[in-house]
Amino acid sequence: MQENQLRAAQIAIKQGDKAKARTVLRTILIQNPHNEEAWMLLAGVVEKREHVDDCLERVLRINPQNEAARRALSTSKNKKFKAFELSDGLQKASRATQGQISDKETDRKGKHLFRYWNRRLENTTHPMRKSVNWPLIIGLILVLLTAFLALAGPSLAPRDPLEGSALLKVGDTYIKPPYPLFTPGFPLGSGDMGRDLFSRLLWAMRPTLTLVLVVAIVRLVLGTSIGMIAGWSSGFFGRTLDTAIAVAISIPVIIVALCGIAAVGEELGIWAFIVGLCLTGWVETARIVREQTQGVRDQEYIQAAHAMGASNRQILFHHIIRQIRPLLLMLFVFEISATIMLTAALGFLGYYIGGDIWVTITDVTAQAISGMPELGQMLATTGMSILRPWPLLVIGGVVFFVVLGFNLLGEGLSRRSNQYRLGRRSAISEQAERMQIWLDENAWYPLSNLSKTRTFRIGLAGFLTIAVLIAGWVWWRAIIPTPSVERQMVAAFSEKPPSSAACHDPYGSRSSHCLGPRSPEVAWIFEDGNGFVGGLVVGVDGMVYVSSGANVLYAIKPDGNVHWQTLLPATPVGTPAISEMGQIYVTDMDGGLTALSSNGEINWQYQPEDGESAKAGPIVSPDGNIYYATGLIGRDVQAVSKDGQALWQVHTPGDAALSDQLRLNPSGDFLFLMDDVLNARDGSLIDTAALGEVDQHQIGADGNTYSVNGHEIIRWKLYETSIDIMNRLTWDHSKFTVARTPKDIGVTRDQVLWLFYAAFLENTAYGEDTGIVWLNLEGQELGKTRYPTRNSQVIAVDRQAVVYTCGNLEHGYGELECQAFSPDSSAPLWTLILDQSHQVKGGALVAGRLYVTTEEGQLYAIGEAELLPTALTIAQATQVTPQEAAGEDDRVVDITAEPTLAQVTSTPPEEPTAETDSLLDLAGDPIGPQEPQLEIFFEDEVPFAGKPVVGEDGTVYIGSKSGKFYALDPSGEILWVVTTPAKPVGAPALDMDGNLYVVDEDGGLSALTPGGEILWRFQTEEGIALSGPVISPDGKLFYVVGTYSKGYIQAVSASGEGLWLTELQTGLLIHTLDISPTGDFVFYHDEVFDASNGARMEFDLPFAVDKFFGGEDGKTYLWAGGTVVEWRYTDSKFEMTEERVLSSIEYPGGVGVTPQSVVWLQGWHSLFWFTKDGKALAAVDFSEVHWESPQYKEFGIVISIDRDYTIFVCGSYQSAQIHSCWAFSPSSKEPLWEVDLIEWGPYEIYEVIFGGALAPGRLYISSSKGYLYLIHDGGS
Amino acid sequence: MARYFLRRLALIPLALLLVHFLGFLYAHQVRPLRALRNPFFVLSAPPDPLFQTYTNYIRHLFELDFITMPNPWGVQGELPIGEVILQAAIASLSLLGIALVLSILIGVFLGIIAARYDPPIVSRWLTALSTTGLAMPTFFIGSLFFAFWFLYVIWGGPGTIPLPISGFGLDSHLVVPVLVLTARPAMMIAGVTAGLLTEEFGRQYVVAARSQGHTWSAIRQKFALRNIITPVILVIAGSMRLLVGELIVVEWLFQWPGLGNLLAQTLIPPRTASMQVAVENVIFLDPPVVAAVLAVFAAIFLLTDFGASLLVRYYDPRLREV
Repeated sequence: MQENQLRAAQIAIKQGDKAKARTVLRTILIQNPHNEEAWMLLAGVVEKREHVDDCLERVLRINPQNEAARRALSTSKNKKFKAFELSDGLQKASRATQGQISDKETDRKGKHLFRYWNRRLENTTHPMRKSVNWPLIIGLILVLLTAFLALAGPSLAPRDPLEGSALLKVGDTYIKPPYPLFTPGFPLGSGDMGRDLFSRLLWAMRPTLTLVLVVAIVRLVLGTSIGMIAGWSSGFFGRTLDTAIAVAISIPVIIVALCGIAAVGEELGIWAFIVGLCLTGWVETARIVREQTQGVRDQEYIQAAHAMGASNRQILFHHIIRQIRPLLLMLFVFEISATIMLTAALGFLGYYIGGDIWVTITDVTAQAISGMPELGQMLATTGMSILRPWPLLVIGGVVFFVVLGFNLLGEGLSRRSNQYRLGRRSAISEQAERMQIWLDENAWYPLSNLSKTRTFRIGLAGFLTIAVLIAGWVWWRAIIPTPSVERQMVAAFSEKPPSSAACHDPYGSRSSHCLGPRSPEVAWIFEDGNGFVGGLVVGVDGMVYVSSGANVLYAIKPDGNVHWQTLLPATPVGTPAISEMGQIYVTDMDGGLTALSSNGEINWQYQPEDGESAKAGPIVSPDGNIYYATGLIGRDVQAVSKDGQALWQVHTPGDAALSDQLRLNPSGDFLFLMDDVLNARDGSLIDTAALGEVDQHQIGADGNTYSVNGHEIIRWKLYETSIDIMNRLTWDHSKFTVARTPKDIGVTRDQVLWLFYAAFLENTAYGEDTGIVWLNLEGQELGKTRYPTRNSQVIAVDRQAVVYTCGNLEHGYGELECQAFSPDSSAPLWTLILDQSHQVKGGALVAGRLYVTTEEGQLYAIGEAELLPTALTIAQATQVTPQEAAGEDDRVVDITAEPTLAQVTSTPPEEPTAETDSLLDLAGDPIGPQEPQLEIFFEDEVPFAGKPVVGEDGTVYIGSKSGKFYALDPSGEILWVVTTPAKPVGAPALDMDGNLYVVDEDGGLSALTPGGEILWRFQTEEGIALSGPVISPDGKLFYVVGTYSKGYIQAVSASGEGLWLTELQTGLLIHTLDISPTGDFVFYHDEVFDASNGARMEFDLPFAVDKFFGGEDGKTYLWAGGTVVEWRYTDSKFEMTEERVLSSIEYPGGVGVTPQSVVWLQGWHSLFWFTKDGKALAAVDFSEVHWESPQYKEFGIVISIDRDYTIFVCGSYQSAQIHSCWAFSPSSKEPLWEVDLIEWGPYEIYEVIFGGALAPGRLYISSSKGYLYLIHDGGS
Repeated sequence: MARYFLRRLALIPLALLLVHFLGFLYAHQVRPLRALRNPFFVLSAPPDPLFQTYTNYIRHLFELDFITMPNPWGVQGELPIGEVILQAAIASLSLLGIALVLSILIGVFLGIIAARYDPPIVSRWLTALSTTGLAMPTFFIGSLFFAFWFLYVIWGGPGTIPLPISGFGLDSHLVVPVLVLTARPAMMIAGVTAGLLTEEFGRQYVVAARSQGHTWSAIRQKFALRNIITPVILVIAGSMRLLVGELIVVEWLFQWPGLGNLLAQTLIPPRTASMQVAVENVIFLDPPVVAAVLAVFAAIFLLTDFGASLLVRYYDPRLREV
C-alpha cells in the first residue's frame, strides 16, 4: 500500500507536480511517521529551507547512517543553529539504535515531531498563523477583568468607600492615615482620610469607565464621520477639513482638554469632559479613516459604482463603511485606551468628574475632599510625596493595567485583521461567507427592494420597536423578581389599643391604618410666625393640637380655622399628647407638664423639683398615666398620674442622648428609651442583656418590639421578666446602601418592615443619599427607593406601607419637599414642593390627610380640602395612629444634666490674664455681652496685624499693617500711637505690669510701657517674624521667626536679651506658638521645646500627635486623632492621664480647656463641651440650623470663651459677603445672640476675622478690612 | 526652495499673534464665568471690555512697561510677567531639549537593534517594551521613582536620596524628570524606527544588495537608514507633541517651575483655595499669562515643525528638487 503511494509520489515529482507529491507523502507519513524514504522525498518537494532541514533531520533520526541526508544537511547554510539540532538529533538517534530509548518513546517522539512538522507544512503560505495571537488573548483577559470590576466592583468592596478613620490601632501602636500597604483591613492601604484604597478602587472603576466609554464613542463617531468626509470630498470643503485635521493634530490633546474643561467648568461633570476630550480628540481616528477612505476612493470598483450611477451617500454607506468596518472596532479600543490615559493625566492634574466636596480646613482655607471615588479624582486627591508613594503607585498601576489591556486588545485585533486580509480562510469563515452570499441573494436583496416602500419601513420600525420593548420588559421582569407586599392582616394587635391620636402615638410606630393622600393637594396652611416646637396631635374629632414657640397651644379645626388658643405658663417642648378622655398634655422647658381640657382651659400643672427641660413631648398610656423625658439628654423619665400627681421619677444610666421620644409597648407595661427598657409601673430598669448590644428599640404596629443593632433587626416580645426573641433578621444591605445603620425603622400592621436611611455622610455627600427599604420578616426586599432630599424624616406610614417623608432639597437648604413612596415603585407616588426652605418638625397622618409642621411655623394640611365625615368615622373606628414627628431637632447632640456643670459654674472667675496670640488661651474671661449691639470701635485704612488685646483697665491695644501700634481707651479714643520700626505682626503680648510686647516684620521685638514709650528692642538674627509673641509667667517671650523655608523659635528674656533660637521641624503653616501654663514648655504644633534652653523634647509616643497645648487650668494637653488627653512630664518621664476626651472632630478649628477643666472643641459646624473624663456636657450642631441662604454656615473662628462657657464665634456662609458672630452657651441649643458684621461689596475680597478679645460685657473683633468691631451690651 | 522657507518663516509670527490673541480672548471670556461659579474666587471689579484690555496690554508690551503677575511659585508677591515666562521657558526648554535628544538617541538605537533582517520582523522584546511603556501614564513612571527612593531610604537607612526628586535646578535635579519625560517618546520613536527599518529590509533592493554580497549592517547603514530618515524626522517632530503633553504632567509632579506647570496653574483651579485670596491673586485663567504661555507653546510647535520640514527637505532629494 505504502509502496504504491511512494511510487505515486515519485511519479508526481518527476512530473513536477510538487503539490500532489506533498499531499501523497503526507498521507504516507500520517500512517507511518517512521518512513525514511518518504521523509527523504518530502525534503525534495517542500518549499522552505528550514522545512528541508526538518525533513532531513527526521531522516537522520530514523536512520543516522543515511549519508545522503547528512551531506545535504551539512551543506545547509545556517550552520550554527542546525548543527546543534543535528548533533542532538543524531545523538538521540544513535541512543535509540543502541536501545537506550525504547521503541515506544521514539514512536511517541516521532509522532510529536510529525505533528509539529505537519502543522508547519500546512502553514507555509500563512506565516502569521503559526504564532498564537497573545496580545489578543492577554488584552481580552485584562479588558474582561476591567469590565467585571466595573460591573461588580462595588458589591465586592469590603468596606464603605466613604468611611474614613482617623486613628487605627495595630498591635500596640496607633497609626494615622495614610495607612501603608497591607495594613490589617486595608489591603492596599488608605488615603489621607483613612479610607480603604482597595474598596475605593473597586468603586472607582465604574464611573471612570462609563465616562471613558461615552467619550470614546463620541470621539469615534466624530472621527469616523470627519475622516470619511475629508477623505471623500475634494475641493474647498475637503481642503478645509484637511486643514482642520492638520491643525488639530499639531496641538497636544491635553492642552485642548485643559482649556475646554476650564472653560466649561468641571461643575458640569461628565459634560465638561465630553467637551474637553472631544474637542480635538477625534483627530487620530479621523486621520486613519481619511487615509483608508482615500485609499478606497481611487479603487476601480468605486469608479464602477460611480459609473453605475450610485450616489455619494450610497457609495459611502455601501462600500467605504464596509471597507473600514473591521478597522472601527480596533480604533474604538485604541480610543478607549487613549481616553483612559488622558483622563488619568487630567485627574492627576486636578480635573475629574465631580464627586468632591469643598471642606473648610481652617478659618480661611478650604480644600476639595473626595467623595464617591473615581480614578481621576483619586489621583488628584492623593498627595504625592516620598514618604507615602504607595497610594499614587497603586492607583497609577491600576490605570496602567487597564490601558495595557486595551492597548493589547487593539494590537491583537489589528493582527487578527491583518491575518484576515492575508487570506486566512478557515472552514468556519468560508461557511460564513457562503451564508452571507446566500442571505444577500435570498433575503437582503428582496428585502431591500421591499423596504424601499415607505409603508413597509414604517411598519417594520414599529414592529421592531414593540418587539424590543416587550423583550426588554420580559427580560427585566425575569432578572429582577420583585416580591410583592403581602398584605395579610396579622392578628398580633389584639390588645385594645388606645386611640393613638388621643395618646400621641405612644408606640412611635408611625403606622396608620388608613390610606394617606394620593395626590399632593394642600388643603390649607396655618401659620404662626413664632414657629412650632414639635409635631402635632389629632383628636378623635379631627381637632389638630400644636404648640407654638410663643407659648401658645392651638386647637385647629379640620378646616384650618383656630378653634381656641391658650397661653401656656412656660415655653412648650415637642408634640402635645392627648388622652382618651380628651385631655391635652404639654411639656415645657422648665420640665413641667400642663394638662388642658378639650376646651382649652388649664386643668392642672405639674412641676418636678429639679427643673430640667423636657426633651420631647409626653406620651399617655392606655390607663391614663403620662410619661415624659427630661434632662439635657432626655435620660430622666417622669411618670405622672392622670390627675397630676407624681408617680415616679427615674434617672437612667445610659449615656446616648434620646434622639426621639419615649415609646410604650402596646400593653402599656413597659417604656422604651433608646436602648433601655423601663417598667412603666415603677420605672425600674429591665435587663435586656439577652438581646445583646442594641442601638434602639422600636415598637412595630403589629405589637412586637423591634430592635436595631447595626443592620440587624431583632424582633422580640417582652413578658413580665422574660424576653422572647422571635427572630433575628439580617438582610442584604450591601446592594442597597453603603450607608451607616438606618436612621429610623418601623413595622406596619401587616408586618412590612421599613428602614429609613438618611444623609449617610452628613453635610458632604451629594445626591441620592436618603433612602427607604421595605422588607418582609424574612429579610426579603419588597421595594426600595433613594432620593436626594436632606434633613428628611418619616412623617407617617399608611396601611399600604406607603411612607410619607418630608425634607429639604439642595443639600438640605432648599425648599421643603414632601413625598410619598410606595414599595411598589422607586419613583415617588407624589411629590409636593412647599415653597419655603423650611425645616420639618413633625406631622401626622389622619383620615387621609397628612399634616406637617415646620420649625418656622407653618402647618400644612395635605389631602382633600373637605374632610369627609366618613373619613373621620373611619379614623375613629380604626383608631388611627398618627405620629409625633421625630420632632426634637438634633442640634443639641449631647446634653446632660451633669451636676458637675453647676458646680463648675460656681467656681470664682479668674482675673483676666495676659492675652496671647493663641487660640488656646481663651477661656476664663469675664462674662461677655448679653444683649449685643454692634459698633465699629475703630477703623484703619489698612488691615490690622492680628487680634487686639485688652488691658486690665480696659485699654485696647492693636497693631496695624500700616506700621502703627494703637492704644485705645474704652470709648474708642486714641490714647497714643507708636510707629513701630516695621509693620507689627500678630497680636501683642501684655505682661502683669501692663508692659506691651510687639513683634514687627523685620524680626524685632519691642517692649513698650503702658504709656507707649519704647523700653527696648530686640532684633533676631534669622529672617523675619512670623507670629506675635507669647509670654511665660516669668516674663520670657517667644515668637516665631524664619525665612520662607525655615522657621525658628526665638526666645527673649524679660530684659530684652536673646536667649535661644531653635529651628522648627514642621513646615511653616499658620500654627502659632503656645506655652505651657507653668512656662516650662513652648509648643509649636506637634513640637515641644524646653523653655529654658530651647531643646526639643522627644517623647517617643506610639501615636502621632497633632498638637500640644496648654490648658487654662494650668495643665498640659495634647490633641491626637480626635482625642484630647492631659499629660505631664515629671522626672524625665512622659505620662498621660487615663481620662480622655474622644470626639468626632478630626480637624478642630479650635480646642481648649477652661480654668474649670472643661474641654471645648470647635468643628466646622459644631461646638462641644466635655468634662475631662470624656463626658459630653453639651453640643451645638450648626449645620442643622436653618438659614435663609441656601449655603453652608460655618464657624470661622472662636473669638473667646467666657466663664459661663459661652463661646463667642464668628463665621459666614460659604460664599456670602457678610460675617456673623454668635454666642453659644452649653445650656441652650439656640445661639444666645447673633450679630451681623459689616457686609462687603460684590467685588471686594473676603474679609478675614483675625480674632478678638473679651472684656467685661464687651467683645472686640479685628478684621482684615481694617475694622475693629465692638459688640457690647447696649447702653453701657 | 528658499522662498518656500521664507514664506513659512514669515507665517510664524502671524500665527503666534493669532494664538496670543485667541488665548487672551479665551481667558478674558472664561474668567468671569468661573469666578461666578467658584465660591472661593472673587473678582475685584467687573472685567474691562476685551478690546480695550487687549490693546492696553499690547501697548504696555511695546513700551516694555511690563505687566506684573502674581508669583506662581508659592511665594507671595508680584513678578514681571516677561521675567516669569522667560525663566519658565528656560526651565522647560532645558528639560524638553535634553529629553528630546535623549529620546531620539535611545529610540533610534533601540529601533535599530530591534529590527531583525531575516525574516524582516521587529523583535518581540521591543514590542513588549513599547507596549508596556506606552501604556504607562507618565505620573505612574514618576511615582515608580518615588517608590524606589522610598525603598532606598527604608533599606539604606535615612540619609540623602541618590537624586533629587522635586524642585528646580539645572544640575542633578534634571536627571529624574528627564528620564521620566524620555520614556514614552523614546518607546514611540523606537517602535516607529524598527517598523520602518523592517519594512525596508523586506524590499527588493535589499535582496539585490544582499545578492551583491553586502553585509546586513552595510545594507542597513548605506541604504535602509537613509531611506527611513525622513519619516523618522517627521515622527520625532510629532513626538514633540507627546513630549509637551507629558511635560505638563512631569512638571506638575516634580514641581518644576516651567511652562507646563504655568499652563496647568492657569487652567486648573487650585485644590486648596484660600478664602482671602481673590481670583486676582492666583493665575488661574489670568488673560496675559494664558496668552503668553500658549503663544510660547505655539512657538515651540511651529519652530519644531519648521525645523523638521527643513531637515526633511535636506535629507530627501526628491523634495529638494521641488
